[in-house]
Amino acid sequence: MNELEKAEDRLKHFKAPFSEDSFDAARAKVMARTINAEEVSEAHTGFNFNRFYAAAATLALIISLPFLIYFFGSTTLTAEENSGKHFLPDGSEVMLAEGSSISYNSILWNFARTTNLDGEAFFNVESGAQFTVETAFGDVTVLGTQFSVWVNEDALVVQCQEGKVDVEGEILKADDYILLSTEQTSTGKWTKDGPFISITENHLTFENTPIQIVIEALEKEFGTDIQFSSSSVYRFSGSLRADDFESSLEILTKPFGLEISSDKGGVVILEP
Amino acid sequence: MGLFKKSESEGKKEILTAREFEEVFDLYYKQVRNFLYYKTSKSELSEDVAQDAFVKLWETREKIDKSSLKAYVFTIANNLMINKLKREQLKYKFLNYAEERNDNQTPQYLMEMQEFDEKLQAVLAKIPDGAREVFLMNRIDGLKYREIAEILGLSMKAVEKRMSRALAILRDELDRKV
Repeated sequence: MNELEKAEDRLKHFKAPFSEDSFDAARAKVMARTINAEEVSEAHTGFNFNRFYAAAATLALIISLPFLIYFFGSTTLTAEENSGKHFLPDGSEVMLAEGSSISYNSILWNFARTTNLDGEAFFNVESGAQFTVETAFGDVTVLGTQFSVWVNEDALVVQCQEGKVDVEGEILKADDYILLSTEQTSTGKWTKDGPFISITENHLTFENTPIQIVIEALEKEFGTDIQFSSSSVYRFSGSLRADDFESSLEILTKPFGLEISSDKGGVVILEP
Repeated sequence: MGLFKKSESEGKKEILTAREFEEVFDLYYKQVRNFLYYKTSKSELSEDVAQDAFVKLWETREKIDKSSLKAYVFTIANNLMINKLKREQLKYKFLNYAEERNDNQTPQYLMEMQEFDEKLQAVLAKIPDGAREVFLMNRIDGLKYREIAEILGLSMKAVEKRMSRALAILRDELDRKV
Protein backbone atom coordinates (compact mmCIF):
# COMPACT_ATOMS: atom_id res chain seq x y z
CA MET A 1 0.00 0.00 0.00
CA ASN A 2 1.63 3.20 -1.11
CA GLU A 3 1.30 6.48 0.68
CA LEU A 4 -1.51 7.76 -1.48
CA GLU A 5 -3.56 4.62 -1.07
CA LYS A 6 -2.92 4.83 2.62
CA ALA A 7 -4.07 8.45 2.63
CA GLU A 8 -7.23 7.55 0.73
CA ASP A 9 -7.87 4.82 3.24
CA ARG A 10 -7.39 7.16 6.14
CA LEU A 11 -9.61 9.74 4.60
CA LYS A 12 -12.46 7.27 4.88
CA HIS A 13 -12.19 7.87 8.60
CA PHE A 14 -12.13 11.60 8.22
CA LYS A 15 -15.21 13.56 8.91
CA ALA A 16 -15.97 17.23 9.31
CA PRO A 17 -16.00 17.83 13.06
CA PHE A 18 -19.70 18.36 13.64
CA SER A 19 -21.95 16.37 15.90
CA GLU A 20 -25.55 15.41 15.17
CA ASP A 21 -26.59 17.65 18.04
CA SER A 22 -25.02 20.58 16.31
CA PHE A 23 -27.30 19.98 13.33
CA ASP A 24 -30.43 20.14 15.49
CA ALA A 25 -29.16 23.28 17.19
CA ALA A 26 -28.36 24.88 13.84
CA ARG A 27 -31.76 23.89 12.48
CA ALA A 28 -33.56 25.44 15.44
CA LYS A 29 -31.53 28.64 15.10
CA VAL A 30 -32.13 29.00 11.38
CA MET A 31 -35.85 28.30 11.63
CA ALA A 32 -36.16 30.86 14.40
CA ARG A 33 -34.50 33.40 12.11
CA THR A 34 -36.57 32.49 9.04
CA ILE A 35 -39.90 30.72 8.83
CA ASN A 36 -40.72 31.06 12.52
CA ALA A 37 -39.81 34.73 12.60
CA GLU A 38 -41.98 35.05 9.52
CA GLU A 39 -44.96 33.30 11.09
CA VAL A 40 -45.06 35.80 13.90
CA SER A 41 -45.18 38.72 11.53
CA GLU A 42 -47.71 36.95 9.32
CA ALA A 43 -49.96 36.59 12.33
CA HIS A 44 -49.76 40.34 12.68
CA THR A 45 -50.51 41.07 9.07
CA GLY A 46 -53.22 38.45 8.83
CA PHE A 47 -55.88 40.48 10.50
CA ASN A 48 -54.80 43.05 12.96
CA PHE A 49 -57.61 45.07 14.45
CA ASN A 50 -55.38 48.01 15.27
CA ARG A 51 -54.11 48.10 11.76
CA PHE A 52 -57.57 47.68 10.36
CA TYR A 53 -58.89 50.61 12.37
CA ALA A 54 -55.88 52.72 11.57
CA ALA A 55 -56.40 52.05 7.88
CA ALA A 56 -60.13 52.72 8.14
CA ALA A 57 -59.57 55.94 10.04
CA THR A 58 -57.00 57.09 7.53
CA LEU A 59 -59.34 56.31 4.68
CA ALA A 60 -62.20 58.12 6.39
CA LEU A 61 -59.99 61.14 6.94
CA ILE A 62 -58.87 61.18 3.34
CA ILE A 63 -62.43 60.91 2.10
CA SER A 64 -63.74 63.55 4.47
CA LEU A 65 -60.79 65.92 4.07
CA PRO A 66 -62.41 68.01 1.31
CA PHE A 67 -65.56 68.35 3.44
CA LEU A 68 -63.59 69.27 6.53
CA ILE A 69 -61.63 71.86 4.59
CA TYR A 70 -64.89 73.17 3.17
CA PHE A 71 -66.66 73.35 6.54
CA PHE A 72 -63.84 74.78 8.56
CA GLY A 73 -62.24 76.92 5.89
CA SER A 74 -65.19 78.43 4.08
CA THR A 75 -65.37 82.14 4.66
CA THR A 76 -67.81 84.54 3.08
CA LEU A 77 -67.51 88.30 3.23
CA THR A 78 -70.40 90.55 2.29
CA ALA A 79 -70.91 94.21 1.55
CA GLU A 80 -73.13 94.52 4.61
CA GLU A 81 -70.32 93.76 7.02
CA ASN A 82 -67.75 96.43 7.75
CA SER A 83 -69.12 98.72 5.00
CA GLY A 84 -67.95 96.26 2.42
CA LYS A 85 -64.28 96.78 3.14
CA HIS A 86 -62.36 93.62 3.99
CA PHE A 87 -58.87 92.30 4.22
CA LEU A 88 -58.02 88.85 2.98
CA PRO A 89 -55.58 86.65 4.96
CA ASP A 90 -52.60 87.90 2.95
CA GLY A 91 -53.45 91.53 3.60
CA SER A 92 -55.01 92.13 0.20
CA GLU A 93 -57.83 94.62 0.30
CA VAL A 94 -61.30 94.05 -1.07
CA MET A 95 -64.08 96.60 -1.33
CA LEU A 96 -67.42 95.06 -2.06
CA ALA A 97 -70.21 96.94 -3.75
CA GLU A 98 -73.75 96.81 -2.48
CA GLY A 99 -75.25 93.31 -2.60
CA SER A 100 -71.93 91.67 -3.49
CA SER A 101 -70.17 88.94 -1.66
CA ILE A 102 -66.86 87.21 -1.88
CA SER A 103 -65.93 83.80 -0.55
CA TYR A 104 -62.69 81.99 -0.05
CA ASN A 105 -61.33 79.06 1.92
CA SER A 106 -59.02 80.13 4.72
CA ILE A 107 -57.32 76.72 4.79
CA LEU A 108 -56.71 76.47 1.06
CA TRP A 109 -55.73 80.13 0.98
CA ASN A 110 -52.33 79.08 2.28
CA PHE A 111 -51.79 77.08 -0.90
CA ALA A 112 -53.47 79.30 -3.46
CA ARG A 113 -54.92 82.77 -3.20
CA THR A 114 -58.29 82.06 -4.73
CA THR A 115 -61.56 83.90 -4.15
CA ASN A 116 -64.98 83.50 -5.58
CA LEU A 117 -66.81 86.68 -6.39
CA ASP A 118 -70.51 87.25 -6.75
CA GLY A 119 -71.19 90.82 -7.71
CA GLU A 120 -68.77 93.64 -7.83
CA ALA A 121 -65.57 94.31 -6.03
CA PHE A 122 -62.46 96.37 -6.08
CA PHE A 123 -59.23 94.61 -5.21
CA ASN A 124 -55.90 95.90 -4.04
CA VAL A 125 -53.77 92.80 -4.11
CA GLU A 126 -50.64 92.34 -2.07
CA SER A 127 -47.84 91.15 -4.28
CA GLY A 128 -46.96 87.50 -3.96
CA ALA A 129 -48.18 84.28 -5.48
CA GLN A 130 -50.91 84.24 -8.05
CA PHE A 131 -54.17 85.76 -6.90
CA THR A 132 -57.30 84.43 -8.55
CA VAL A 133 -60.85 85.69 -8.60
CA GLU A 134 -63.15 82.98 -9.86
CA THR A 135 -66.34 83.99 -11.57
CA ALA A 136 -68.95 82.20 -13.60
CA PHE A 137 -67.41 83.70 -16.73
CA GLY A 138 -63.87 82.77 -16.02
CA ASP A 139 -60.95 83.42 -13.77
CA VAL A 140 -59.24 86.74 -13.21
CA THR A 141 -55.64 86.22 -12.28
CA VAL A 142 -53.09 88.68 -11.00
CA LEU A 143 -49.85 88.80 -9.12
CA GLY A 144 -50.26 92.06 -7.26
CA THR A 145 -52.24 94.98 -8.51
CA GLN A 146 -55.44 96.96 -8.22
CA PHE A 147 -58.45 96.01 -10.21
CA SER A 148 -62.22 95.92 -10.18
CA VAL A 149 -64.36 92.95 -11.04
CA TRP A 150 -68.02 93.08 -11.81
CA VAL A 151 -69.99 89.96 -12.55
CA ASN A 152 -73.57 88.81 -12.88
CA GLU A 153 -75.33 86.04 -14.80
CA ASP A 154 -74.82 87.77 -18.13
CA ALA A 155 -71.40 89.30 -18.11
CA LEU A 156 -68.07 89.80 -16.48
CA VAL A 157 -66.28 93.10 -16.53
CA VAL A 158 -62.78 93.57 -15.26
CA GLN A 159 -60.98 96.85 -15.05
CA CYS A 160 -57.32 97.05 -14.26
CA GLN A 161 -56.09 100.11 -12.42
CA GLU A 162 -52.52 99.15 -11.73
CA GLY A 163 -50.17 96.35 -12.71
CA LYS A 164 -51.37 93.51 -14.90
CA VAL A 165 -54.44 91.33 -14.78
CA ASP A 166 -55.04 88.09 -16.65
CA VAL A 167 -58.66 87.42 -17.58
CA GLU A 168 -58.93 84.02 -19.20
CA GLY A 169 -55.69 84.54 -21.08
CA GLU A 170 -56.38 88.19 -21.95
CA ILE A 171 -53.77 90.42 -20.34
CA LEU A 172 -54.99 93.79 -19.09
CA LYS A 173 -52.60 96.60 -18.28
CA ALA A 174 -53.34 99.72 -16.30
CA ASP A 175 -56.56 101.39 -17.45
CA ASP A 176 -57.55 98.47 -19.69
CA TYR A 177 -60.89 96.85 -19.28
CA ILE A 178 -62.47 93.71 -20.62
CA LEU A 179 -66.11 92.81 -21.01
CA LEU A 180 -67.02 89.17 -21.32
CA SER A 181 -70.64 88.35 -21.87
CA THR A 182 -72.64 85.54 -23.32
CA GLU A 183 -72.79 87.49 -26.58
CA GLN A 184 -69.49 89.24 -26.90
CA THR A 185 -66.02 89.96 -25.71
CA SER A 186 -64.64 93.45 -25.93
CA THR A 187 -61.59 95.16 -24.61
CA GLY A 188 -60.49 98.76 -24.53
CA LYS A 189 -59.28 101.71 -22.50
CA TRP A 190 -61.38 103.31 -19.85
CA THR A 191 -62.75 106.75 -20.50
CA LYS A 192 -61.34 109.66 -18.63
CA ASP A 193 -64.40 109.67 -16.44
CA GLY A 194 -63.00 106.81 -14.53
CA PRO A 195 -63.78 103.22 -14.01
CA PHE A 196 -66.69 101.31 -15.38
CA ILE A 197 -68.28 100.94 -12.03
CA SER A 198 -66.51 102.91 -9.47
CA ILE A 199 -67.24 102.33 -5.89
CA THR A 200 -64.78 104.97 -4.93
CA GLU A 201 -66.29 107.66 -7.16
CA ASN A 202 -69.90 108.54 -7.78
CA HIS A 203 -69.93 107.58 -11.40
CA LEU A 204 -70.90 104.50 -13.34
CA THR A 205 -69.22 104.53 -16.67
CA PHE A 206 -70.08 102.14 -19.47
CA GLU A 207 -68.71 101.59 -22.89
CA ASN A 208 -70.59 99.57 -25.47
CA THR A 209 -72.21 97.64 -22.64
CA PRO A 210 -75.39 95.57 -23.03
CA ILE A 211 -78.25 97.51 -21.47
CA GLN A 212 -79.19 94.54 -19.31
CA ILE A 213 -75.87 94.85 -17.53
CA VAL A 214 -76.26 98.57 -17.10
CA ILE A 215 -79.71 98.07 -15.65
CA GLU A 216 -78.45 95.52 -13.22
CA ALA A 217 -75.67 97.86 -12.14
CA LEU A 218 -78.28 100.56 -11.50
CA GLU A 219 -80.49 98.17 -9.59
CA LYS A 220 -77.62 97.30 -7.32
CA GLU A 221 -76.42 100.82 -6.93
CA PHE A 222 -79.83 102.26 -6.03
CA GLY A 223 -81.42 99.18 -4.53
CA THR A 224 -84.41 99.56 -6.84
CA ASP A 225 -86.07 96.88 -8.90
CA ILE A 226 -85.99 97.65 -12.61
CA GLN A 227 -88.08 95.57 -14.97
CA PHE A 228 -86.80 95.23 -18.48
CA SER A 229 -87.63 92.28 -20.62
CA SER A 230 -86.50 92.54 -24.17
CA SER A 231 -84.46 90.41 -26.47
CA SER A 232 -83.12 93.48 -28.23
CA VAL A 233 -79.45 94.21 -27.71
CA TYR A 234 -79.01 97.82 -26.84
CA ARG A 235 -75.50 98.93 -26.10
CA PHE A 236 -74.80 101.89 -23.90
CA SER A 237 -71.73 104.05 -23.73
CA GLY A 238 -71.56 106.86 -21.26
CA SER A 239 -71.38 107.92 -17.68
CA LEU A 240 -74.20 107.70 -15.18
CA ARG A 241 -74.37 109.45 -11.84
CA ALA A 242 -74.44 107.09 -8.92
CA ASP A 243 -76.20 109.61 -6.66
CA ASP A 244 -79.09 110.49 -8.95
CA PHE A 245 -81.30 107.59 -9.91
CA GLU A 246 -83.82 109.46 -12.04
CA SER A 247 -81.34 111.34 -14.16
CA SER A 248 -79.30 108.20 -14.63
CA LEU A 249 -82.36 106.31 -15.77
CA GLU A 250 -83.18 109.08 -18.18
CA ILE A 251 -79.68 109.24 -19.60
CA LEU A 252 -79.79 105.52 -20.14
CA THR A 253 -83.19 105.22 -21.81
CA LYS A 254 -83.43 108.35 -23.91
CA PRO A 255 -80.93 107.49 -26.64
CA PHE A 256 -82.81 104.28 -27.36
CA GLY A 257 -86.24 105.87 -27.21
CA LEU A 258 -87.25 103.68 -24.30
CA GLU A 259 -90.03 104.70 -21.96
CA ILE A 260 -90.03 104.62 -18.20
CA SER A 261 -92.98 104.00 -15.98
CA SER A 262 -93.20 103.57 -12.26
CA ASP A 263 -94.51 100.35 -10.85
CA LYS A 264 -95.35 99.39 -7.30
CA GLY A 265 -91.99 99.58 -5.59
CA GLY A 266 -90.08 99.49 -8.87
CA VAL A 267 -89.49 100.89 -12.30
CA VAL A 268 -90.45 99.39 -15.61
CA ILE A 269 -88.62 100.19 -18.77
CA LEU A 270 -90.70 99.64 -21.86
CA GLU A 271 -89.95 99.43 -25.50
CA PRO A 272 -92.05 101.88 -27.45
CA MET B 1 -34.24 16.91 -6.06
CA GLY B 2 -37.43 15.69 -7.65
CA LEU B 3 -39.44 18.16 -5.66
CA PHE B 4 -37.61 21.14 -7.07
CA LYS B 5 -37.36 19.84 -10.62
CA LYS B 6 -41.12 19.67 -10.66
CA SER B 7 -41.56 23.27 -9.69
CA GLU B 8 -39.30 24.32 -12.53
CA SER B 9 -41.79 23.12 -15.09
CA GLU B 10 -44.65 24.76 -13.23
CA GLY B 11 -43.14 28.20 -13.58
CA LYS B 12 -40.52 30.26 -11.90
CA LYS B 13 -42.87 32.64 -10.11
CA GLU B 14 -43.65 30.13 -7.39
CA ILE B 15 -42.12 31.20 -4.13
CA LEU B 16 -40.38 28.88 -1.75
CA THR B 17 -42.75 27.87 1.05
CA ALA B 18 -41.81 27.38 4.69
CA ARG B 19 -42.23 23.64 4.33
CA GLU B 20 -39.99 23.55 1.28
CA PHE B 21 -37.44 25.66 3.05
CA GLU B 22 -37.30 23.14 5.87
CA GLU B 23 -36.80 20.37 3.36
CA VAL B 24 -34.01 22.28 1.66
CA PHE B 25 -32.38 22.86 5.00
CA ASP B 26 -32.59 19.22 6.01
CA LEU B 27 -31.21 18.09 2.66
CA TYR B 28 -28.34 20.51 2.23
CA TYR B 29 -27.34 22.08 5.51
CA LYS B 30 -24.70 19.51 6.33
CA GLN B 31 -23.25 19.62 2.86
CA VAL B 32 -23.02 23.38 2.95
CA ARG B 33 -21.49 23.40 6.41
CA ASN B 34 -18.98 20.68 5.49
CA PHE B 35 -18.11 22.44 2.28
CA LEU B 36 -17.29 25.53 4.29
CA TYR B 37 -15.31 23.46 6.70
CA TYR B 38 -13.28 21.81 3.93
CA LYS B 39 -12.59 25.24 2.68
CA THR B 40 -11.55 26.81 5.99
CA SER B 41 -11.07 24.14 8.66
CA LYS B 42 -12.93 26.46 11.04
CA SER B 43 -15.87 24.56 12.47
CA GLU B 44 -17.61 27.33 14.36
CA LEU B 45 -17.20 29.80 11.54
CA SER B 46 -18.48 27.21 9.08
CA GLU B 47 -21.58 26.64 11.14
CA ASP B 48 -22.30 30.33 11.50
CA VAL B 49 -21.79 31.04 7.83
CA ALA B 50 -23.85 28.02 6.77
CA GLN B 51 -26.71 29.23 8.95
CA ASP B 52 -26.41 32.75 7.61
CA ALA B 53 -26.54 31.35 4.09
CA PHE B 54 -29.86 29.62 4.76
CA VAL B 55 -31.28 32.70 6.41
CA LYS B 56 -30.29 34.67 3.35
CA LEU B 57 -31.83 32.05 1.10
CA TRP B 58 -35.13 32.54 2.94
CA GLU B 59 -34.91 36.31 2.86
CA THR B 60 -34.31 36.35 -0.89
CA ARG B 61 -36.79 33.58 -1.70
CA GLU B 62 -38.94 35.87 -3.82
CA LYS B 63 -36.12 36.56 -6.24
CA ILE B 64 -34.79 33.08 -6.74
CA ASP B 65 -35.52 30.31 -9.14
CA LYS B 66 -36.61 27.26 -7.20
CA SER B 67 -34.97 24.90 -9.65
CA SER B 68 -31.47 25.95 -8.64
CA LEU B 69 -31.83 26.28 -4.89
CA LYS B 70 -28.97 23.98 -4.05
CA ALA B 71 -26.43 25.78 -6.19
CA TYR B 72 -27.83 29.06 -4.93
CA VAL B 73 -27.36 28.31 -1.25
CA PHE B 74 -23.84 27.07 -1.89
CA THR B 75 -23.05 30.23 -3.78
CA ILE B 76 -24.38 32.38 -0.95
CA ALA B 77 -22.38 30.36 1.58
CA ASN B 78 -19.23 30.60 -0.48
CA ASN B 79 -19.56 34.34 -0.94
CA LEU B 80 -20.33 34.95 2.71
CA MET B 81 -17.31 32.92 3.68
CA ILE B 82 -15.03 34.69 1.21
CA ASN B 83 -16.13 38.00 2.69
CA LYS B 84 -15.34 36.78 6.18
CA LEU B 85 -11.99 35.34 5.18
CA LYS B 86 -10.96 38.59 3.60
CA ARG B 87 -10.77 39.99 7.08
CA GLU B 88 -8.74 37.23 8.66
CA GLN B 89 -6.05 35.01 7.25
CA LEU B 90 -6.77 31.49 8.37
CA LYS B 91 -4.37 28.74 9.05
CA TYR B 92 -5.80 25.57 7.65
CA LYS B 93 -6.04 22.61 9.97
CA PHE B 94 -8.48 19.84 9.31
CA LEU B 95 -9.72 18.49 12.62
CA ASN B 96 -10.55 14.88 12.32
CA TYR B 97 -13.70 14.13 14.17
CA ALA B 98 -14.35 10.58 13.07
CA GLU B 99 -14.61 8.07 15.82
CA GLU B 100 -12.96 4.85 14.99
CA ARG B 101 -13.68 1.57 16.47
CA ASN B 102 -10.19 0.68 17.57
CA ASP B 103 -11.05 -2.49 19.41
CA ASN B 104 -8.80 -4.85 17.57
CA GLN B 105 -5.95 -2.49 16.90
CA THR B 106 -2.59 -2.64 18.53
CA PRO B 107 -1.39 0.49 20.30
CA GLN B 108 1.49 0.50 17.83
CA TYR B 109 -0.89 0.69 14.88
CA LEU B 110 -2.99 3.39 16.50
CA MET B 111 0.00 5.55 17.13
CA GLU B 112 1.20 5.15 13.58
CA MET B 113 -2.19 6.06 12.28
CA GLN B 114 -2.32 9.11 14.49
CA GLU B 115 1.01 10.22 13.14
CA PHE B 116 -0.06 9.60 9.60
CA ASP B 117 -3.31 11.51 10.11
CA GLU B 118 -1.39 14.51 11.33
CA LYS B 119 0.80 14.37 8.27
CA LEU B 120 -2.27 14.03 6.07
CA GLN B 121 -3.87 17.05 7.72
CA ALA B 122 -0.76 19.08 7.06
CA VAL B 123 -0.82 18.05 3.43
CA LEU B 124 -4.48 18.91 3.08
CA ALA B 125 -3.63 22.39 4.25
CA LYS B 126 -1.24 22.69 1.31
CA ILE B 127 -3.88 21.96 -1.30
CA PRO B 128 -5.37 25.15 -2.75
CA ASP B 129 -8.86 25.87 -1.39
CA GLY B 130 -10.71 25.17 -4.63
CA ALA B 131 -9.13 21.79 -5.17
CA ARG B 132 -9.37 20.80 -1.53
CA GLU B 133 -13.09 21.57 -1.29
CA VAL B 134 -13.82 19.44 -4.29
CA PHE B 135 -11.55 16.66 -3.18
CA LEU B 136 -12.98 16.45 0.35
CA MET B 137 -16.57 16.78 -0.79
CA ASN B 138 -15.96 13.81 -2.99
CA ARG B 139 -13.93 11.72 -0.61
CA ILE B 140 -15.57 12.49 2.69
CA ASP B 141 -19.17 13.43 1.84
CA GLY B 142 -19.22 11.10 -1.13
CA LEU B 143 -20.60 13.66 -3.54
CA LYS B 144 -20.41 12.74 -7.21
CA TYR B 145 -18.41 14.95 -9.58
CA ARG B 146 -21.66 15.86 -11.29
CA GLU B 147 -23.18 17.01 -7.99
CA ILE B 148 -20.12 19.04 -7.06
CA ALA B 149 -20.11 20.65 -10.48
CA GLU B 150 -23.75 21.60 -10.04
CA ILE B 151 -23.32 22.92 -6.51
CA LEU B 152 -20.27 25.02 -7.22
CA GLY B 153 -21.33 26.10 -10.68
CA LEU B 154 -18.37 24.43 -12.29
CA SER B 155 -18.03 22.30 -15.41
CA MET B 156 -17.34 18.59 -15.04
CA LYS B 157 -13.96 19.25 -16.59
CA ALA B 158 -13.11 21.79 -13.93
CA VAL B 159 -14.11 19.43 -11.14
CA GLU B 160 -11.95 16.68 -12.63
CA LYS B 161 -9.06 19.07 -12.95
CA ARG B 162 -9.33 20.11 -9.32
CA MET B 163 -9.53 16.50 -8.24
CA SER B 164 -6.40 15.54 -10.08
CA ARG B 165 -4.63 18.60 -8.77
CA ALA B 166 -5.53 17.66 -5.19
CA LEU B 167 -4.41 14.09 -5.75
CA ALA B 168 -1.14 15.19 -7.30
CA ILE B 169 -0.29 17.41 -4.37
CA LEU B 170 -1.29 14.70 -1.94
CA ARG B 171 0.92 12.17 -3.68
CA ASP B 172 3.91 14.49 -3.95
CA GLU B 173 3.74 15.77 -0.41
CA LEU B 174 3.21 12.35 1.17
CA ASP B 175 6.07 10.88 -0.78
CA ARG B 176 8.37 13.67 0.23
CA LYS B 177 7.67 13.22 3.88
CA VAL B 178 8.40 9.55 3.95
